[in-house]
Amino acid sequence: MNIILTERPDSFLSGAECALQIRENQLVPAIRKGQTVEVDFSNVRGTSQSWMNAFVMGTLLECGIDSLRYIKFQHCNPLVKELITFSVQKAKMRSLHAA
Amino acid sequence: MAWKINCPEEVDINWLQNLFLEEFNPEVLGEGREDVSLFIDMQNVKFCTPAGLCGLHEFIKSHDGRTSVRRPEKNNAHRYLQRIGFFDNLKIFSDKDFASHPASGRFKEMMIISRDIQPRSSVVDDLCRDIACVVAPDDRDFQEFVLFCMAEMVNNVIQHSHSIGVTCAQYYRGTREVEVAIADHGRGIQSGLKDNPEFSSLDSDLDALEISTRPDTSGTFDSSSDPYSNKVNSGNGLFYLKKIVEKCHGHLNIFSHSGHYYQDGNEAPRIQQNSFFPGTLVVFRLNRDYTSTLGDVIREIREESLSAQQITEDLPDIQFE
Repeated sequence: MNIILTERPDSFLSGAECALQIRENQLVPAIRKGQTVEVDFSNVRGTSQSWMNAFVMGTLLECGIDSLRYIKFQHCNPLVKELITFSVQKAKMRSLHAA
Repeated sequence: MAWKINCPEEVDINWLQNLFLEEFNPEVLGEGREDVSLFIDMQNVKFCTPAGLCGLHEFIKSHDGRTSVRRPEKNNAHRYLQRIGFFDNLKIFSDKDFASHPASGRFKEMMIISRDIQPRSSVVDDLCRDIACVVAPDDRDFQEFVLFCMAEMVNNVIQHSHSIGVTCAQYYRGTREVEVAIADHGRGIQSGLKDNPEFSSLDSDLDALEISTRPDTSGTFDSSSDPYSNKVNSGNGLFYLKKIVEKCHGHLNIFSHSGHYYQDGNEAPRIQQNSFFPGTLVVFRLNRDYTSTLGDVIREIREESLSAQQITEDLPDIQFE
């Protein structure tokens, strides 16, 4: 499965509610079916950390930290990679804390 | 009883810190205005910042009775208030005697963050992009800092305030600083936090400000349970804003009801009692001479967060392609 986040060039994804919508409608259902999901960050220059947390951290806490193996992050610039890494780290801390 | 706000020459953060209401007899305004219950006297105003304007705007919007505003005597101040949309948003003084020019590189007009905004549309993205592109049109690295901070502030208003907000921004060429303000006349941070049972006994605006700038803290979940499984909010918006300001040697002011939070770069924040603000006002100032990138700053914050948690386990592999 492929999720194209935006077709608008040079987008900065700010609204966390939009991230939640993609997570609820596309990402989590696919992971629950055991599908690999390719998330395409083409055209994305950056996101707010709230957007990324709603998208990545929320998914990992909902489906388990191991569900990360089902997600491939494509065409990420250095800023987006850093934001994703921070979100994964937050999810890891949360899951360790909960355990 | 009627009240008067006497605006000084500079309507800015310093004024908001010392703002007070005077008792006032509306009969002095003349016949037909005896029912005015709030009088804003802007006669002496010469200079306004986004913080002062957003704060004053929400003061007026929060007032239930009839409000009267006296225009600034200085023509430049009056024209600036017209251009930035202060009068239009309040639906007063609609007489304009100028042609608007693009404000790129200078200021972003006041924009209402309405309750009607569909949080799942691209309106929030567009709002943040508009502001960042206007105050920093030719500096992509700096734009990203403004976009990031702006996004955290707007998400905060949408998720917590339960009210309408207003925002505007100004670039100051002399100091190469951008000031962005966002204000609402909602329930304040303390009430928002009390939605979380963990903070139900909270009874201080000062404590609420301190708590709200910690990581992983929110009114929308109980942090002792699993907060993120079905919520959009990770409880880090003001924390990220605070950390960016800290790293970039900027300034952050938050007014919420009787509390005022002030942070100057990486110095310890000062939280103190303030004259009452009828909602929440968040203001950040960043300097364009700061040369790092947002990615580098986020990495620093992430590494600090990791070492504070003393986690030795490796992160799981992230598949970047």
